[in-house]
Amino acid sequence: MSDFFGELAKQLAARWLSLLAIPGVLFFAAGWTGLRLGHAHALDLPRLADATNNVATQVARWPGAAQALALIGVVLASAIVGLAVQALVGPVRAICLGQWPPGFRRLATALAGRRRRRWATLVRQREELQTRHPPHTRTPDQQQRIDRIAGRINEIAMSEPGRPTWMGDRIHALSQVTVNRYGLDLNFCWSRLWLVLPETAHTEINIAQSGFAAALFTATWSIPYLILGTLWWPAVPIGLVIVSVGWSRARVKIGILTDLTEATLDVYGRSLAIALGVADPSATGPLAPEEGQRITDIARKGR
Amino acid sequence: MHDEERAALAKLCDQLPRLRAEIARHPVATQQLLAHIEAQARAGQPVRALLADLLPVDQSGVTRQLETLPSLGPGRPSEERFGCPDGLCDREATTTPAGPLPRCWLTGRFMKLRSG
Repeated sequence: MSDFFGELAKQLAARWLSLLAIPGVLFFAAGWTGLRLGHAHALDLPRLADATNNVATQVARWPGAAQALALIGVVLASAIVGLAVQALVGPVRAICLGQWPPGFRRLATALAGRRRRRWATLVRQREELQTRHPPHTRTPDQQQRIDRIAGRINEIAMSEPGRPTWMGDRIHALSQVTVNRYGLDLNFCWSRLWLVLPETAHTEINIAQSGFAAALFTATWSIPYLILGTLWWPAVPIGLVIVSVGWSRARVKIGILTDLTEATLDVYGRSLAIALGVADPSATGPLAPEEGQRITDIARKGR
Repeated sequence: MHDEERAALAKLCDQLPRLRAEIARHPVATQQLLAHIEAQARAGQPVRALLADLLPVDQSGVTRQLETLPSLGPGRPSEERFGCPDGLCDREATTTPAGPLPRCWLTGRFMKLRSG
C-alpha cells in the first residue's frame, strides 16, 4: 500500500481517460479523417497520409506553447464530446428498456404482443408435454425436450412479456414476479427494502447497476459515429460494431442486475416484513404474498 | 497479526481522514466499501485484500461482480402445482412461469405450492 492515496488518484485519472478522453480522441481522429476524405475518397489512404503530413508540418512550425495549447484543446474537445455522449445515455437506456416515446407506442405494442404470443405458444407446448409425460413416467429424452422448451421460454422473457425489447422484459419480469409472487409493488417498495439490506447486497447491486450503465455508455458512443457516417461512410460500420458490443454487454449486465435484484427479494424480503412489523421477528423463509401486499399498502398509502 | 497486515493497517489509519474526504466524492458503493474496511479494521480483521478492492481496476470501477456460470444449459424447470391453502380439498391449480399465484375461490386466499 505504498502511497495508497497517490495510487487512487492515478486510477481515477486513468478511469477518466478511458471513459471520456480516449473514446473522445478516437472520435476526434475519425471525424477529422472523415471531413478530409468524405464519401468520394473514403478509403484513400495516400490522401489521408498527405493530409496528415500537411497538418503535422504546420503544427511542427508552431511555437511549443501553441502546440501544448492545441493538444490541451484536442483533449478538452474530446472530453466535451464524451460528456455529450454521456447526456445521450438516458434516451438510449429508454430505447433499450422498451420505454419508447409516444410516436412509437403502436410499434412498441405490436412488438410486445409478438413477444407475448411467442412466449405463450412455448408455454402451451411445455404444459402439453408435461401433461402428456407425467414426471414419474418421463424418459430422459422427454425431460430434455421439456427442459429445452423451458429454456427457450426463459430466453424470450422471465415472465409474460410486456415490453417490445428483451432488456425491457427483463425489468418488466422483475416487477411482475415481485407482484405475482410476493405481493410487492417494487416501484414503491424498493427504497424500503434498500434500507434493510446489508452492505454486501448494496455493493453487489450498485456494481451491477454500474456495469449496465457502462455498457449503455459504450453503446451510446455509436451515435456520433453513425452521424459522422453521413459524411464519411466507413464511420457507419464502426458505429455498428460499437453498438453491437455495447448492446451485447448491456444484455449480459441487465441479466445480472435483474437476477441479483430478484435474489435480493428472495433472500431479504422477510427482513423488510419484520422491519415494518408485518411479520413476526421469529418468522423465517421467503416473504409470503399476503405479507407483501400489506407492505405494498404501507408503501403506497392509497396512492 | 501478520506484519504485512499491521503495515497495511498502520497506513490505512494514517491516511484515513484524507481517504474519507476523497472517497466521499465517489459512488456509494465505494463509500460503502471503505465503511466496510473500517469496520473490519476496528474488529481486528484482515483488511489488506479489501484495500486492494478499493482501487478500481477497470473502466467502470468494477472490482468484483456476479457472473453467470458458463454453459449450464436451460436447467430443470420447476413444475409448480398449487393446492388448497388449508388442505381442505383436493383442487389442484397451475399458473404460467413466474405468473400470479392461483387463489382459493372460497376464501380468496393464495393457494399453497405443492411441488416444485
